[in-house]
Amino acid sequence: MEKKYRVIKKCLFVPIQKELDHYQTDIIKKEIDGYLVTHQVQHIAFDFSETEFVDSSGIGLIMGRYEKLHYSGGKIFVMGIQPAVRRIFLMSGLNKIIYIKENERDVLASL
Amino acid sequence: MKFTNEMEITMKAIPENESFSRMVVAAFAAPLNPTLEELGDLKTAISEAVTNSIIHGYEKKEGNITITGYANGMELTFIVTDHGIGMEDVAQAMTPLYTSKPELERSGMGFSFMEAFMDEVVVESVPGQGTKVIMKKNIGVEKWRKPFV
Repeated sequence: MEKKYRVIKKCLFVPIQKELDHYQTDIIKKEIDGYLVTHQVQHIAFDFSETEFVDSSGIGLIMGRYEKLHYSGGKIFVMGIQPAVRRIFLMSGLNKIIYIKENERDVLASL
Repeated sequence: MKFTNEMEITMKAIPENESFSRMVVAAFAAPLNPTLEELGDLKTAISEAVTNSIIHGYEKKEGNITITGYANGMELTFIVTDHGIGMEDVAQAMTPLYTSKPELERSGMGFSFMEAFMDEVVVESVPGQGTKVIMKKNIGVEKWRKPFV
């Protein structure tokens, strides 16, 4: 099922596909930048529930969004991460600056 | 008799082939019956090396990348070769969090991930000629558990 980008309560929900690599991050970055221009976006929530693979390009994407948003009080969320993905997040230390949530409802509850 | 295998694939240095590379190494490793985690390790390491060739070696311009694979019993070796711009200072490039392209939002963790997931990583590079990344991993070993699970 093709998930869509949505903005709810100034939070941009970004669906991530099965694999997040450099090729995918280039595509996603353009999408996100587009939404930052056309919508009021303060936070970003990445939906990893379908994702089985993430490499350092994916870490770079998330870190880049964090750099862009956190000075203005924005938060970065990741939802539904699987064990293989969690391992990469822990190794990169990303877990220290992003919020790990189960699902969209938990994200909205903490906004 | 010990299982041995060899393969070599040359492909265009385009981002679409990052996924293809991961499938190639997973398929090549399959006869060794790797765990899901070991497969993840191999796929991540190769993805990092191929991505580096595309972004840094060829700076997203045209070029070819070769992946050579050797299976020797339970030891896998993958060599990622490009004929891109190469590196002056390999040690600096491999420093954790170092990136020569911060404007591209690169994490600088590519080499760190390669070294974390493979047993051995050797990088040979000649500026103006290209780079070779040689990675080895033993499959199915009762190894010391790494701290991050």
